[in-house]
Amino acid sequence: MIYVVMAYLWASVLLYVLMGGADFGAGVLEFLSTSKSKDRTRKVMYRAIGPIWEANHMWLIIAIVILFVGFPVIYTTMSVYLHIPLTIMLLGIIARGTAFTFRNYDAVKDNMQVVYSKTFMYSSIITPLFLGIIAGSAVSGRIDPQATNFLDAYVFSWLSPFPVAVGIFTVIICGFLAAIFIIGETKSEEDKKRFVTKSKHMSIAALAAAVLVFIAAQMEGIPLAHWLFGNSVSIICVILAIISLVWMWASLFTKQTKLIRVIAGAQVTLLLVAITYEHYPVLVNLKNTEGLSLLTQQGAEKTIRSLGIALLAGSVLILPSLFYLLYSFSNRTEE
Amino acid sequence: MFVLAIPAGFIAVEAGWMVTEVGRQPWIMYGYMRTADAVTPMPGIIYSFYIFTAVYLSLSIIVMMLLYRQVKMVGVLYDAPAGESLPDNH
Repeated sequence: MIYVVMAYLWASVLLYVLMGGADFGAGVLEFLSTSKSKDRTRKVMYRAIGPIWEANHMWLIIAIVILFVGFPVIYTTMSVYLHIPLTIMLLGIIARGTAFTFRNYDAVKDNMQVVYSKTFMYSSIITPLFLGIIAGSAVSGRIDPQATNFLDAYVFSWLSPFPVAVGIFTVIICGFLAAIFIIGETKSEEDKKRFVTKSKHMSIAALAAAVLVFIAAQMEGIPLAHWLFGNSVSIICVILAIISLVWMWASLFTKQTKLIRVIAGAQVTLLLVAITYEHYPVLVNLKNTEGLSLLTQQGAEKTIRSLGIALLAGSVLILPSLFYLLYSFSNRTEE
Repeated sequence: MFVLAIPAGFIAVEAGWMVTEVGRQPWIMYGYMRTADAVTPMPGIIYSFYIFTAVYLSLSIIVMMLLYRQVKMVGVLYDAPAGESLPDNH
């Protein structure tokens, strides 16, 4: 059962990055659009992401609940030492959701719209930035349970080049996913062309950010290269991701929307596999002590069993309705 | 009468929430763990508390403001002649 629970944890993190990522990315793209095209970008994106954005946070909630119930020590460690970035991320999620909703439902369309849009854009960047920072600091071994002063324990556990570089990388991946996703959501040729260009820019930016992550890892003495190239599974994933990037560029020219979507999703999946494979079953690396492993830090067997059953039973109920939700919105006609 | 009943739903929800949250103090897990023992052991955690209180307060104010704006616009949005499309700005 522990493997079922771990699979759910991994899958919900992946789905959050993919679907939530595309969602955050919409705000990132809005931020990056020129003021002339901002309105158009916003309109297309609202149609594409609007109705389903609330569903995406379900994955984050599932991941958190799994950690809370199944792996309390890991949950405690992360929420204590990463309290500040977690709080900022939470504030970002709140600000983003409310700004997005208020922007659409405020009856009076006046200057408040500008405030909503600004809040939406900035929180769309801050949230994935801190998500990346949290992930980066969890794997980098910066969390130090033996730290005695405030700064070492609660600030430098996440504020350093590597986690920040991972955060920037995450933001760009979100923008990339959103651009790819939206190509298939619009029927206007002009919009398609714009988002194809955006996808290209974002994929180049992602490569640049990846280089930044490597440089930061080098600076901090984090064996990132070993994680990615130290075992055959990770190597294969990285190679496949690079090959598919070329393939994706080719399909961007022919605008095969379904295909590029699958490739982009696969790339992110491959990257997550590559990174997590070497670490498995360790989820959080600690400074000077052994990391927190999913296999040794699990809760009581009974708890894990009930959690696994709850997850399986929940999937039977939730997944069909989720697919139906996505299906029903994908069939709407263009306004 | 109907207008007076509008806040009733909100009051019921909030009151129910207060009964569960205030009624169980000082326990966070009834009989097992005190709320005071469950606080994140980070120095300065009180600032998180201030921040979230401020968030809740400002959201409540914004919601009230939005509801007011909604009410103010009823005449414009919903009394439009049939067949005429509503102002649509999203």
